[in-house]
Amino acid sequence: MYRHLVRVAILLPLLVLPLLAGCDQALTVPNTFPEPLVEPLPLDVALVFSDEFANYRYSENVAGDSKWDIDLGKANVALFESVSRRLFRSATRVSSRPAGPEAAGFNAIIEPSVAAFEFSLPSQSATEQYSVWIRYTVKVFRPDGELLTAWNISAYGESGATLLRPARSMEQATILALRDAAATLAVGFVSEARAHGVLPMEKVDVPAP
Amino acid sequence: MSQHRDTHTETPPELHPEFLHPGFWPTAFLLLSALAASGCVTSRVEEIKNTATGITDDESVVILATSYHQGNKTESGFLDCVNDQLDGGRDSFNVYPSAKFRDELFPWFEPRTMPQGIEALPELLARPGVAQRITERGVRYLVWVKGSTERTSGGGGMSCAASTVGGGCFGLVWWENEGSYEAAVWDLKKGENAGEVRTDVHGTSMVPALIIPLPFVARTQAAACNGLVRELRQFITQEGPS
Repeated sequence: MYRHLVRVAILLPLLVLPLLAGCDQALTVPNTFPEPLVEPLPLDVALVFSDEFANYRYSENVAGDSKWDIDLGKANVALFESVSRRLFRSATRVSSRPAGPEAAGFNAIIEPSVAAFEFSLPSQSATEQYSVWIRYTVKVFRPDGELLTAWNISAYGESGATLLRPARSMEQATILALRDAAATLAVGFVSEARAHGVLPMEKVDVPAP
Repeated sequence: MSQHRDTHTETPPELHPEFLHPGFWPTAFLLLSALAASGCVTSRVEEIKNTATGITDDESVVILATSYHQGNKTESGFLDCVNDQLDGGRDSFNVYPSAKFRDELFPWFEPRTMPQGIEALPELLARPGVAQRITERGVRYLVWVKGSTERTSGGGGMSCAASTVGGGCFGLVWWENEGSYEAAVWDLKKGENAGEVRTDVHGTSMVPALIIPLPFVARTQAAACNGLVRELRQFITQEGPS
């Protein structure tokens, strides 16, 4: 009995580990984000999410490792909705870019897209980290349709490897990258908006000579 | 006022001559098996206190890792250990959950936006709603943890074989880990850096195998967590210079 147990204890990891290494990894990134603690900007905006953005999936077959399928679509939408709810006086989701009288009620129309998504596994980086990079392009239009800016937001997240739970580590790294993007959006939008005329420039008091 | 304290402990393995009688090996095997989770660990704890501290029942502490954008690689398991141990046991005080704190103050404590030094604290507290939200939650101290445990060296070898009639291993594998962690304590009530606690831990682990591998694993990270928590607890609760 004892010898049988020893055999099983030795053979089981030898059989299971290679199977896990070759597993397909699929994950849907959670779509809950905190609302930012910021003063709302005096803007009424329309949010346009394309189908590609709202259903974004990233798939990659990593040679010698696993095949990854990451569903980012719902998280993309939740991120921009959650930040916009507090960042702007009002944010309304619309199905397509409004034009004419429909657009007149907005100060700006915001249309984000995913420009790039990349990740790195411990087996690729020779570290203990899962790393995720996301680059968003946030297009801001005037109500008349003129493009004011195409703002690139680069976000990064990393998470330590957890034994036998690679999807959990990848999910954590992706969530951190999404939060990084949300933080950049919440903190940096005001300067981007001022630089491109979405908001008036801040008045600076020049001391009298 | 600045005070420096230094504690050094070492637990080297010993082999006493009186155990070298015929019953030594069975006894040693049992002892070593019982202590299989304890390799050799050496630890050193240092503390620098700038100001008097102290904490009341309605005040709490938040434990946060410094940013990975600054190269910090503190393991999430280490932070969980510090949080859990500070929150329980004797002389414990309120520890506010760090994830909740980061969510409630989003985006000001994210790796990219968190304050990089005490000089950034006034600007952070001046942001709309930040000071009020921190005060409402009774957070008195922010503890910024940085550091990690790394494998510094190792060697040896082990061969294992398995077949339908049995299996086993033969050889010896050893490795050394170095854990180095630092916790800076910011007093939000006074708006200043109250001081730092630092721990350095060295652990040597080995796995000898004669058919069955026997792991003697030095719990370097756990020892670092225990040392840091012990010192942090004293640092925060002792009102005067420690």
